Amino acid sequence: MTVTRPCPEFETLLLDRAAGSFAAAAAARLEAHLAGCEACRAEAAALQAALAAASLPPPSEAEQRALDRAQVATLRHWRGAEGSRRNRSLLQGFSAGFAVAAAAAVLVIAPGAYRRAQQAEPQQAEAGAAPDNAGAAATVPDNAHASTAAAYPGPEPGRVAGWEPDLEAAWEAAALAVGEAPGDEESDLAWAGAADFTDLTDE
Amino acid sequence: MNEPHDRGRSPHLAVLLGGAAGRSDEALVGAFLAGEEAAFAELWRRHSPAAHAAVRRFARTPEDGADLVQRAFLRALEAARRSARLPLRGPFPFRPFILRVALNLAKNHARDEARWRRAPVEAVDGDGLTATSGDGASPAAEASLLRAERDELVRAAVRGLPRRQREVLTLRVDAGLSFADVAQALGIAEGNARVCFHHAARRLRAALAPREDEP
Repeated sequence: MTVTRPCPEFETLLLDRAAGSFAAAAAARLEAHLAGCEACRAEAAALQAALAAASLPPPSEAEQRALDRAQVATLRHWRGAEGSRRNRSLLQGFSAGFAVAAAAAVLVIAPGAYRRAQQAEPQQAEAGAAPDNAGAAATVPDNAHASTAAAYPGPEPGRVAGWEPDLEAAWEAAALAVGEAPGDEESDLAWAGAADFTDLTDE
Repeated sequence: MNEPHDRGRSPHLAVLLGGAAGRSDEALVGAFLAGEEAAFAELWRRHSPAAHAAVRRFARTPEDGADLVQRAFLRALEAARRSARLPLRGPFPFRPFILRVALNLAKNHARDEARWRRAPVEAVDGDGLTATSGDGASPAAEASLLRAERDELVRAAVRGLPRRQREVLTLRVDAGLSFADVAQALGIAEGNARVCFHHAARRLRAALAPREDEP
C-alpha cells in the first residue's frame, strides 16, 4: 500500500475543495499545486470519492410520490387544525364575554345583597361617621370599608363607617352568576372580582 | 437574511412565473397564513427538498421520510403563525427553522425506530436506501458490487460520526446548503460548520483508506 501523505499546508484547502466551497484565489493556488503534486492529487480524489459515497442518491420515484402525497396531506392537516383553532378561539371569546357578563351581574347584585344584610342587622352599624373617608379610594378590596361606603351608600349615610358586608351572600351571588354551585370550594373563578372576594373572606 | 433560497432557478424565471415564486419566504408565509394556498405550494417547492434531504438518512421507508417532512412543515408553519402574533417580531427564519425541526424529528425518529426493531430485524441494517444495487449476480456486476461494498463502508462511517458533524455533512452534501445556511440552520458559527465538515470528511476518507491502492 503506497499511501503518501498530502502536503500539510494544503490539507485544509483540499478539504475546502471537497466541500466545494472556497475562495477563487485559494482555488487557483490549489489547482496550480495539484498539477505538480501526485500525493495531493490522490488525496483530493480520495476525499471526493468518500464524500460521493457518503452522499445519498437523489430521491427515488417512490420517495417523490410519498413527498407529493405529503404535500397534500400537510395542507389538509393545516386546514383541519385551523378549523379547530377557530372553534377554540370562538369558545374562548364566548367564555371571556360570559365572565365579563358575570362580573357585571355581580356588581348589580352585590349592592342589593349588602342592603338586605344591613336591613337585617341595623344595630351593628355604629354612630360617628368619618366623612373624610368617604371619597378616598375607588377600588373595592383594600379600602373596602371606605370605598364601598362611598359607592353604595346605605339608607342612613351617617351610620356607614363600621359596616360588615354580607360576603356569603355576595359570594353566592357571584357563584350563581358564573354558573357554579354555591359553596363549591374547588370552583375556579378566573376573574379578578372573585379573587378580591376571597381575599376579603380570608380576613 | 433569508433571500437567496430560490436555488437552481434564475431570478428572471422566478419573476416571469409571477405570483408566489418571486416573493420572499416571509411574504409567502404571511400570505399562506392569510389563506393563500398558492403560497404554500411555493414554500413546499422551495424547502421540502432540503428538509427531505435532512431526514432521509433516518427514514426507513419513503413514507417515513415524507411524514417527517410533513411534520417539520406543520411545526414551522405553526411557529410562524405564533410569531406573527407577537408585537415586536423580526422576520421569521422559515428555512433555518424547518431544517432544524426536520433534523430533530429525524433524530428522534431514528431513536424510536431503533427501539422498535432492535430484536427482530437487526440483520437488515443500513439506511433503507442501499438496497437499489442488490442484484449483483452477473460477473459484470462485480465492480459495482465492490463499489456498493465501499459505499456501505462509508455510510457506516457516516452513521458513526458525531451528531453535529453528521448534521453538517447532511445539510451540505445531501441538502446542498451553503455553509452560511448550514450554520444558520444549526445555530452555530459558519467557521464552526466548516470545521465540522472538515472533521467529517477526514473521517470518511479514513474509512476508505484501506482500499486506497485502487484507482
